[in-house]
Amino acid sequence: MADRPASAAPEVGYGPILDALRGVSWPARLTSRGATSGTHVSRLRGASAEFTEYRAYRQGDDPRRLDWRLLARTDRAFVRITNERSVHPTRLVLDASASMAFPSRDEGKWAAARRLAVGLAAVAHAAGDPVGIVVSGTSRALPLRARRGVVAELATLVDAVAPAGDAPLAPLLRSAARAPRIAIVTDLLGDADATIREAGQAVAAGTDVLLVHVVARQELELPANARLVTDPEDEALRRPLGAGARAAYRVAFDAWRQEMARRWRGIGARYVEVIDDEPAEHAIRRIVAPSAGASDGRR
Amino acid sequence: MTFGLPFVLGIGLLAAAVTVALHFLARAEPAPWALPTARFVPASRDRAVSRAIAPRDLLLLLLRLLAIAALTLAFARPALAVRERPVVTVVVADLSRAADRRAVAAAVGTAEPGSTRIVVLDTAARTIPAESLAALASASAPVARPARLSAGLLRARAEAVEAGREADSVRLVLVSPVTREEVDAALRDVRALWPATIELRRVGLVEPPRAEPRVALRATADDPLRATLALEGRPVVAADVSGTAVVRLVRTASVSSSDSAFAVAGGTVVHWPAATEGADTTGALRTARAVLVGLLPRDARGVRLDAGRATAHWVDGVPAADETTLGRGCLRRVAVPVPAVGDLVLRAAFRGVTRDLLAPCGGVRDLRPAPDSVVAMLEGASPGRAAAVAAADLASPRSEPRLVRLLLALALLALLVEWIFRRRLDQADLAPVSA
Repeated sequence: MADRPASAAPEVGYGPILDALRGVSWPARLTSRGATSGTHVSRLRGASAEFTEYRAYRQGDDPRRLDWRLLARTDRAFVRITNERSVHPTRLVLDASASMAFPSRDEGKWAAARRLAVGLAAVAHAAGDPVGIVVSGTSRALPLRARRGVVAELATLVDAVAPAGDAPLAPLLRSAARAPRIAIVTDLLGDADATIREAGQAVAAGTDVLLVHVVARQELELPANARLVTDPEDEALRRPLGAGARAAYRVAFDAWRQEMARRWRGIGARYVEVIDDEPAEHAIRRIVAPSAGASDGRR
Repeated sequence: MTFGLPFVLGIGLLAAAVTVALHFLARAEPAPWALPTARFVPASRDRAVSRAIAPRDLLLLLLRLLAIAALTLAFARPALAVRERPVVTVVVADLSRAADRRAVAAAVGTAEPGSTRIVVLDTAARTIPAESLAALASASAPVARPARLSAGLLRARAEAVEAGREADSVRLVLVSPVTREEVDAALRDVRALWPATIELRRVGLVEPPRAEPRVALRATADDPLRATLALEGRPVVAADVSGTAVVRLVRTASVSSSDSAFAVAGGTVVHWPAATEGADTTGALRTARAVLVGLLPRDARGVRLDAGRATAHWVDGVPAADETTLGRGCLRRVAVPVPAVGDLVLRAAFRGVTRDLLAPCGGVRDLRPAPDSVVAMLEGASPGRAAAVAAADLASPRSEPRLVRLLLALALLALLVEWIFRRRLDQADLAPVSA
């Protein structure tokens, strides 16, 4: 993995994206486990004003929570149960393998991935949630933080990374699974199977897993003057690109994407596909929408 | 524009044709394009071929052809020399001792400045301004040594090569009496260097001397050569007599200052010492026209040829006499011992040798006209033979160094632009414009 000076990174420009995402919220799909006060519904029951239900008074309950009016009417003691709200820490996992630096002219997938990561971090941070990030193939990471400036730190971190190599994502998921919410931004052209397995374990452990699949427009619509293609991560793989090969490629690529969507949703994660030329703010709104990439079941 | 190496143009044309053919026939594997999802392209036995000719490839072809054209023109030695006149005449004017100099000058006629070049032939050949021929012909004294037409023709050919840079063709004119003494063994080969005919203007001979010069003898009274001269009927005068019709024969051990002055003034001094050193014998002595065979004593020192030319040889090739120019005359040294006894000096062969050794400066003159075969060989007239030689056949024109440098720079620039343009095309192929 190569670090590069910020001046060498293609200009991304996060300002307009962050401005467009003001007011956008990213509600937690699962009830939060956090104890810190926040905006997401917590598993803990508290004494807030958000009434949810009555429960029969048990020995040991705080008498101040008795509903005296109900007691007067029914001669039975009940306590008021309300919802607590807490923060929902979100850890971003960013794929920085060589396949992300495509197309080579402007590194479209990598630029889109950076914008998505920064935008999601900004949305989460705006709700007071701690955010952090780990980048594959590098030791660079940002622990979960809610302080001011964490989004700028995150943006600076990702701008300093140049995608290269083929470091796996699965080990990063293993270490990131302690966060209540994980957002993975990748093109799934690396260790997809291992990543799915780790994600499945994280979902089973109660983690909210979101998979943002970044696809380049030129991977969908191959340029007309391309005659011979090679895999940048496997230079021994060279394939001629005739008319029949183009059609077969599209069929195979579409089928693979559909298979990936099915498998990720099958483990209980959310799957959202983003094309690199889609405006980041539009994509993020789609991602954070409550119905986006719904899993087969909601916990 | 003319070219010194026109065959290079053919080579360049061939290179251009091959370049055009390869440009349209080449089927190389195109540069691979990095695609992360290449694994989804089905494996195939088909071969990827380069794309069909596109307009931008024509620009590459034009740049390559431009480079080839510039290199070809540069190596073909181009010359931009403008031919100033159609024909230049080179005239060989024979002003040797055999020719009537005024007649030669008259035969040359009025030379047009710039169109005629004059090569004067006397003892050597040299080029002079055309306007100075008349003065030279009337002013200079007769040259003692014979001239050689071969030297004149060689100088004339070199002059013709120079003249060919300013003219389309060159013609050669020879003004000479063409005597036998002007013909040497190299004349035929030298004549063969000129492919066209030679206009021969034959002029009269100089008036030959009516009689052999008198001999001014400085020797003892009993010198054996007195008998030889008497038998020859050569008049012998006093030793101090001077004049061009006198040959001073000095038989003492060395020549005096007056002898040297006599030679400088134009006289012929023959130093033939009577005394010799050492003892050596040989079998024959040869001069220009005579051969003496017999057991002959000779000076073991021989004759050292410093600046002179040998006029007599022993049978083994050792010079027996030489002649050195002194001023307008000459000093001839003879190392042939004359026996004081015996009848050697009375023999006809010895008298012939003596006659040659006592000839005026320059040796024996053979002013007889050269044979007709020599004249015909010089003229070289034959059906189909041109009267003038095309300048291009004489020598390659001097190439223009500035033009060559310009063409080389143009070729380098074209190759540089072609390289840059080709790299940009390759990069564009690898990263095509996205939709």
